[in-house]
Amino acid sequence: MEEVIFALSSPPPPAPLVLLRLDGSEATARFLELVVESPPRRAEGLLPRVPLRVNLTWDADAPPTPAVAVVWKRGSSWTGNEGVEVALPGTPAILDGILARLEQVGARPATPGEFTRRAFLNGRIDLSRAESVAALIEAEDRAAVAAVRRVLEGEMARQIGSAAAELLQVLAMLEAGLDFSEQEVESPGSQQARVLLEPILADLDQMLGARSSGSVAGAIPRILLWGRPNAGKSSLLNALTGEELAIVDAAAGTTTDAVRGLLMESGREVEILDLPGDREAQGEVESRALERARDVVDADDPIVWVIDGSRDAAEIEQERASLPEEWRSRVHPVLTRCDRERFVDPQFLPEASRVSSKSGEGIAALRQHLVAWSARSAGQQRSDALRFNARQWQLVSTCRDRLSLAIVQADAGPELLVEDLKDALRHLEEVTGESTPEDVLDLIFSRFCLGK
Amino acid sequence: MRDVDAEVIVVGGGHAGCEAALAAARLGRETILVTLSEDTIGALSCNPAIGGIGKGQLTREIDALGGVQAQVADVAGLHYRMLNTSKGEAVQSLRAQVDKDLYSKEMRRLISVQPHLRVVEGSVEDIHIVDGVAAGVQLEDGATVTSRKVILTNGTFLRAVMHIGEIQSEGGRIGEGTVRQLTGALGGLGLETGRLKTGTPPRLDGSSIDWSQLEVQRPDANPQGFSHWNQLPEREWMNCHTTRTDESVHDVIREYLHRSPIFSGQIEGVGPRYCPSIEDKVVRFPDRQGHVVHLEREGLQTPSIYVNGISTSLPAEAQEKLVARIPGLETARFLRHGYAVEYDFFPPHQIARTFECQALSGLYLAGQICGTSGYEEAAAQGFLAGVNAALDLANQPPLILGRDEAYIGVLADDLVRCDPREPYRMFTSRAEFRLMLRHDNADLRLAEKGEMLGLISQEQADRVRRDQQQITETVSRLHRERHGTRTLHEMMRIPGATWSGLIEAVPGVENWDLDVRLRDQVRVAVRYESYIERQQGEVERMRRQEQWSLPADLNYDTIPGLRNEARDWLNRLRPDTVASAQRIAGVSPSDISCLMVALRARGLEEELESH
Repeated sequence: MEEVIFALSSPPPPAPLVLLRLDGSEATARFLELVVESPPRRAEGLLPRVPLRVNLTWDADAPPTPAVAVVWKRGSSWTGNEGVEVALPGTPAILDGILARLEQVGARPATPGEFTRRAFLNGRIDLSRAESVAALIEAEDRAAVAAVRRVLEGEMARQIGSAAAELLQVLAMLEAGLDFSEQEVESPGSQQARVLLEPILADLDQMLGARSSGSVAGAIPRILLWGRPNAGKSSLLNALTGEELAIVDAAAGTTTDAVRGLLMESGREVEILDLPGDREAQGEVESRALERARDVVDADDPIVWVIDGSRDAAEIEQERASLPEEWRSRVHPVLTRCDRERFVDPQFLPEASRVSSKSGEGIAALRQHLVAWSARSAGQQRSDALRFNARQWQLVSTCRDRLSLAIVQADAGPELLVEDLKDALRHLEEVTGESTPEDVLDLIFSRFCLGK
Repeated sequence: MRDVDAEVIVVGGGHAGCEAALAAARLGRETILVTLSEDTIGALSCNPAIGGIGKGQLTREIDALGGVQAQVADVAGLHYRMLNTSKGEAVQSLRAQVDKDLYSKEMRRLISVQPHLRVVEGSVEDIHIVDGVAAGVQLEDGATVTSRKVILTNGTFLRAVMHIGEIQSEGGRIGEGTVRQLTGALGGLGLETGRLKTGTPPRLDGSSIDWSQLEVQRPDANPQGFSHWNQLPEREWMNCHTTRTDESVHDVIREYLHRSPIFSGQIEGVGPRYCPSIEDKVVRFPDRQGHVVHLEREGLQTPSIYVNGISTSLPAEAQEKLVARIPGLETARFLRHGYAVEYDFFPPHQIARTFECQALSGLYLAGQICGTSGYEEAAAQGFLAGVNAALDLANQPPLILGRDEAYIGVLADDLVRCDPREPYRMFTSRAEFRLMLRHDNADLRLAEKGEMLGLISQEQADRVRRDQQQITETVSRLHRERHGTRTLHEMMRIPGATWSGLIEAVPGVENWDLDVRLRDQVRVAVRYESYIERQQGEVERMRRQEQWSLPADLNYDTIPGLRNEARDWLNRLRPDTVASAQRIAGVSPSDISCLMVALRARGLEEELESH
């Protein structure tokens, strides 16, 4: 038994005509409860796939609404379930009444993506098509639709596939050095591996719309988190995205590499970038990571300045004075740890958001503020870059971050570099197709002369 | 019960056959080993070495479970080297040059003193079947030996043809015979067969080689043996030597290429890419100016030198000509020419993880007839087949190792969904969890399993448990104790950190209760800790998918959405779990989603029917 769900599957009203879809085991029966005929038609009286003029009622006082309905039998509809499609006038008042009436008779509004999920679970479509359909539905304007089309036409598969193939090449070379070290196989050392990996990282950055020069347009607006070590940036990132993206540790300076998260709010997406704490680098590894992060912050993205609100107001003022001049116009201050007893005066820094990642206080408001703010600052969504859906974006972005980490710690040893790269690759492969160790071996054999 | 001649018959006395027969007999089963010739039991047919990258791990795992390859190799070892020492512990492996004669003598000794084990000479040409179950074997002379389990480990001997240039002769090894009828007999049971090729290089007389021209490769100064349970005997270790081919050698090869059975089309079987013949190397990599050649002594009492790196099936005169152009070998005398051998095998997707044949209950296949290559791979399969045959006779659950538990598990799991185009060889890159599956912790991983089987004694297992306890306690102590601002654990994680460095820096550590031989293991455990923790998620995901079994009667043609390529592979290899299906190269993630959807639908229907 599938519950009967319904949703409008054409642009929202007002519109001359809208399409209403019902789906579920008794979709026809539920729908017939709205049909005024005397005597009322029976479900079996409706011919599948034949459009039928009906009059619908939702309120005894209002005149019936004319509509055209098509009934789909189980197994023949798009989702594979029994379903009804109804074309009816797009007048908001009428629609509201009809939808409310449907709920009274036992149907419920579909949750986002529920039709697609049902189609997937019934084996009607595969995961990648399901995602493209979802992206088409979400696309807001012509340019965005074109970007999604490019995805469907394989542009994304091509770009991701080529990054994955390059990663696989480096992996194969490293693996050859491990499995065939006794034979004269040339395998890159850590320095060479870095040289080979940096361009792949740049490609991924480009795909994600990250900007190292500030000129390449991105698909998703971005906000940077900036602040002192241990100001609570990582916790804030996790609270905003609802995921454990950043490793949070009470010891200051835990984040050594940029971590990205995707904030999703009211159908909009904002990339949040958590940068390493602003402090003098100590080890070589840390300085390399900081350098990379500073490259990123030079772009003209809005910046969230994260401040530990349990500190002295004077100290915070001092920190504000030390922010780069060119940042002034694009900084939004956020005071963290407002659940602490010791917290700055409410009069201090009135434009700041006051939040607690621990209790969740102020987080919802901050999310909404950031979405609105980024939309303003970033202007129109730039649609010329690849448009990923949230899952794909998260996967590519995680791959990018793992790769970046692998480059930073390439000296730890070739077998560990391999693990980091495999980890990065795994995320890319989840977007397109999977490689097996057999692929790596095939590559090894095609490139190297082996045999002892 | 005693209406049969034996409970287990093992056919073949190579690496697989010896492990299978010894394991079954040690588990108390009356066992008969049938071999073409008693003298060739435990023979090293190709190179005089045990171990190597990825393979040394297999040998140590067999040892930890109670098999014999490691202890036999240690008796015969002449030159030990730990490979990949500059790379990291997870990819380090032990390799030993061994005395071939000592090796096979020791193997024959173990077999002759083993209770419940007898050897019979003969050629097995058919499987004796009673009520649809394997019930013995039929020999060439018509005699039947009956049993309840039959383990075939025929190596390269099924319809074997050797090639030296245009000259072809029957036989699986120089001077030995072949088994003609068995392939057809198994084919009659519905088993698919295939043909593979392998090769071996010439053997030279060591007294005719100019050793002064050659580069010396020294063994490790303080070698560590393969076996966990025995001290390596004191012995004078032997050096190895290397030389190189050059363009003048390659010219000879090109000149004779049209007479090479590989290139003339005379050989149809596919050879391994990782162990190519010298003519293969010259053709496929024309830019390489030279190839390294290792000269390996086959034993202390024989002048025979194995010329590693120039495996070939070129005509005899070409072999002599090309060898004479290799520095140091100008006047070398041939003891035997190199040759290629073609043989029948059974694609191993037809066996289960127990190595029992799906087509015939009671019949097990192990070793090269499953399309693998290598002494270590063969021994691992033979061991599992022998153990599982014995366990089944005792009505006990089979021994099946996971990919996260052992290289042996990776091997078995790869084989059951494998339709090899070339002989299968182990590599560390085949083991996705190789950071956990190290040569240094094979006993920690597997000795308790060996004890449960009854092949490892309680004293042996107790020692391993004590080691494990010391390691665990030391690692947690490293986490607890601090030196200045850092924990000792953090200090140990710094690249290049050593235990002696820690002792120097932190007073008191030298008094910790930790056996000196375990120090390295603690250091390695600390080094890989965070990576292994991260891999645990992958391990669990894999285990979940392994729980999700694919019904044997699943008809892939009726599953909507599968791509044709995936459908073909799934129908052919019939993976037993979703995890296994996922590892088939021709099956994509979206095929897997379709499969899971279909399984779910099927599950729902069955649920409805049962109500």
